[in-house]
Amino acid sequence: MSAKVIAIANMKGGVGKTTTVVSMAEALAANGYRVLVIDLDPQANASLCLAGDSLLATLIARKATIEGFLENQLLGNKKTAFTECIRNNVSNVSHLNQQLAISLLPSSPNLRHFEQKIIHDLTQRKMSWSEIIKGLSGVMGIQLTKSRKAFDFILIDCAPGISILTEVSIRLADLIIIPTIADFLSTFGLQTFCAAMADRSLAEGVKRASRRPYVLITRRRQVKIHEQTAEKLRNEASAAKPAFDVFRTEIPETVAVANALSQVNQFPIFSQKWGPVVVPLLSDLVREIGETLNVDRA
Amino acid sequence: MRPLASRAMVEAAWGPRSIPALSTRIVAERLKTLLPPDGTPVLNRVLRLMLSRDFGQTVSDELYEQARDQLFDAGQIGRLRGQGGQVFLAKSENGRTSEAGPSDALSEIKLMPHLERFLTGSFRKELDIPPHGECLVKDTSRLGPPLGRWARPDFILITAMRFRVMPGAQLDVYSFELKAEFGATDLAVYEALAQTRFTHFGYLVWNLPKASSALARLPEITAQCGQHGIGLIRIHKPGNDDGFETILDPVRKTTPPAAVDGFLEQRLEEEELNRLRKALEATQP
Amino acid sequence: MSIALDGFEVFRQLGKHADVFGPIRADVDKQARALVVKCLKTKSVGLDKVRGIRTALGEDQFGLLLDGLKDAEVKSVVTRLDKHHPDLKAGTTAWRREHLGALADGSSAPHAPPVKVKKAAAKKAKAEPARLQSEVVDIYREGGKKDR
Repeated sequence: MSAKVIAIANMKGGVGKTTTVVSMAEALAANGYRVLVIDLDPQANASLCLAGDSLLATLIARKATIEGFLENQLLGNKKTAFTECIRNNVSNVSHLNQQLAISLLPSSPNLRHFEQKIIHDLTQRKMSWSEIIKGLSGVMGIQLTKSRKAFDFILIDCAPGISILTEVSIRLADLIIIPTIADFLSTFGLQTFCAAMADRSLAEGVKRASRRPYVLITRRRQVKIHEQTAEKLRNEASAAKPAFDVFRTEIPETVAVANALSQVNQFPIFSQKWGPVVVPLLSDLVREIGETLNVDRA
Repeated sequence: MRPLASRAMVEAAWGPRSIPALSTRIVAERLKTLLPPDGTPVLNRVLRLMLSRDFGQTVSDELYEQARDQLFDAGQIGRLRGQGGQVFLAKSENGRTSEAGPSDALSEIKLMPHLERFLTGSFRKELDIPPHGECLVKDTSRLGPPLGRWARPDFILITAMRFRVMPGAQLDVYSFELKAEFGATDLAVYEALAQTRFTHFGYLVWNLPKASSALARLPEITAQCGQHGIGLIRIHKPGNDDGFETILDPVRKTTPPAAVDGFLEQRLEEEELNRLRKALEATQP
Repeated sequence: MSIALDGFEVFRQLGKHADVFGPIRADVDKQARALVVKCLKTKSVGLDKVRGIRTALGEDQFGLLLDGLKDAEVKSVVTRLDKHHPDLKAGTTAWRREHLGALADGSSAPHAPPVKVKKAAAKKAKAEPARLQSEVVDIYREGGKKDR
């Protein structure tokens, strides 16, 4: 199977994007899929959660990171391949006595400066914004194609907002997932994101323009505002031109999730890490993603 | 929480272009460096995962077991049972890896047959069981609830006999917790004590050769056992029964008969239970 | 490979291999009852679902289950299923129990709510369901188009 590329993005921060990436990567891997996570968020939270502090420090020191790759590709003379920066077997989690098959192309806090540097350097070379995007998309696209054989899913964790790298990811993805809290500010972020996707000629370059982005309701609490907002989100399906679809599965705000993300320096078992409430939900989510992308069960 | 491995170690292990083919020797070497130097045991599951992360490629069950057994046979690591097994770094007194031969650093698994021989031989003889009585020795290290904490003694010994003069019968259950050279700690004493939840007499059996660096712990462990009424048997040389020394006799616990009964029912076969019943019900000889 | 325990599948197999699970028979009885009662008491379970449960379990087992319900449990379930019944408040516990049985087997239907005279409301066109909207986003969207 050729890997399906899923970009996880949102305009707003703090909506459970890292949680979504980490839990989805682990749930897909626990299902038997080979998963690659590409972290494009300079906060490097997903990298930290997946690889652990010590290993991530090593990878950053070796420049085996996304900006290490891009620097070589775009500004340097040496052309490194994606595969040289991908670290296999990073997970500290096991399922049915096997390590989860998760590979990582990590980010580092330097990515933020680096993104600015790319834009600066390339505009100095008289490249326009759209040329930069096209160039970057080309480079990333080639590398993703090369990696597709080795994986079943490639998850891209995008930084909050629509940065140059997020824009590239959105173009290359088979599916865009927007984690959203069912409250006023988060859904405002969702609307601006959807508006932006229709804007700036982004829509033209998107690989699967026919497939709308999917909203994943995260950090759901049993309060009225969440209930009302979730209903509004689901009502989008009845609009004349829906801007997005919504997954049936909702991820609740639980202590188990917060605890799971802090188990970075331990070696937990998948079902114990996420707990009896969240594991069945992750199972449902994986099934929904599989249905959306027409993926055979692993 | 311990950092997984030093940066230098990971660096050395990881060549970005060529993934090195793993050999048993390479895995064994890395395995040693990943184990905590203070001798804290690590689960087999976790250690294999740590190795896979460290190499950036999957270390197969087979390769892991080969490497582990190689180190174990060389006496460089010790093994513990429970939760899928654990391993720990064997250490000599001055902090260097023990150079002792395998005969000195025997694991619990290798000590098991010796203890069984001792229990069915000399130990049983000393109990002075009359001919109409019954004495059973059973390896229970793999029986019982998989997650039950401290509910699996390595051996149990049961004696059943009718009184010679008085009416009635006596049933005694002994539990034995076997520990290798570096396995006897305060916790081991408590483990032996915990097993008297279901038995009358609890023993800690400790393989402690003459020149062992763990000898320093003997007075403390003896004191702990004495305090809790746990028996202590020291193995000097497991090869023959003379190498077993009973340092402390246990105190009989007033374990509720129902607890003992339930325990025996779960751990013994029907045939063994019948033998016990027969000995308890038999008419006077 | 599955990642979550499938409880329904486990129960199916429990029932299929009753001999293997013989030692926990008493617990199975107790838990089975507790689970069905919990389902009956769930708010979202209406009369249709209750009838579905009865059909699924069969008359015998369902009858035994009803017999095991406490009076208070019967009251809360009946009140939920047939909240407009005129005798609900005055009825005895025995009547409620009987009525629950009758509702479940279909021999009795729930009472309709008292008819309220509705004014003009009926004329109102069916409202659009509430969806996300923001004037700020609208302006942003327009602006985007104007640039192009």
